[in-house]
Amino acid sequence: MSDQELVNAVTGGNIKAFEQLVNTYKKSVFNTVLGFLRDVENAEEVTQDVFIKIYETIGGFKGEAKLSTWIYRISVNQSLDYLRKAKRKKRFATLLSLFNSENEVIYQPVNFDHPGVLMENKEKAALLFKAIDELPDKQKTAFLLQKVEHCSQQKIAEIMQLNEGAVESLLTRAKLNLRKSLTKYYAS
Amino acid sequence: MKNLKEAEKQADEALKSIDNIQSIDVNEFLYTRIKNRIDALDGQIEKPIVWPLYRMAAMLVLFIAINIISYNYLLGTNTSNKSIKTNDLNTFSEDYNLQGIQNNY
Repeated sequence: MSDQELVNAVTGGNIKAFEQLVNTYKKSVFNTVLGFLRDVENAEEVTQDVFIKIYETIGGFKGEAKLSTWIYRISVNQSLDYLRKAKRKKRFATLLSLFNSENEVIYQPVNFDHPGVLMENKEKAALLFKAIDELPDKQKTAFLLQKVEHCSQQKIAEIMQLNEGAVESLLTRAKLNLRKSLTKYYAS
Repeated sequence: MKNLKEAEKQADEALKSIDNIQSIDVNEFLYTRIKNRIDALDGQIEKPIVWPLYRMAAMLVLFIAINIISYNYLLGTNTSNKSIKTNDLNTFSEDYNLQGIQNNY
């Protein structure tokens, strides 16, 4: 079944086609989200959100981009939304903690141990993911799509709706910022 | 300076640490969970759309029924009033021998 046939079938309410769509893209959605969130449990939750969003909005998919590009875009947006909400909650909790000491623990992944990283690189990768978390959203998105999902610059440009030159610039700045941040850490 | 060189080297190594990152598998029950959430959402979506329609239809039927009943009631009242008025006039004209006055000119 081609992408357009799959989209048409899902739009027509074919639940088997939706199951096929989930099975085809679940791995790339989950791994993209995991790169952003650095937490397996929350990444699973957001992966579900991504597919529910796809189910709700697939009628609006016009086929101007590839289905995979559209799905990556939703995954990135849902992940960034989740991180923004988590940051807002964290700020609010910090404010509340000034008045009340009994607060629930807010999502805050520390030293994320990515299951897909080789054993000998785990410590360095944990530091790198922490540094990635500090990057501006666009640099973070371009870098993660390249490193975690092994997307080409052209694919990243399509997902982020930018031209390739802009993506190259984002990747260069992301690497410079990460190098600076990691050097500072190792030098201290 | 030596420390900075060493730190930069370590930073470069850290940057390469996820170059060969492997994709990991998703929970095998992912689809079931998504399906359950969609089913729950469908239920929520139906309620606000379907119930107001039923209510609006019921209100419309009630409105039309009240109008028809009122119209029939008013029509009936008018007819009976008319016949009462005609009877009164006839009795009055008979009492005062006014029948056929118009022919005496």
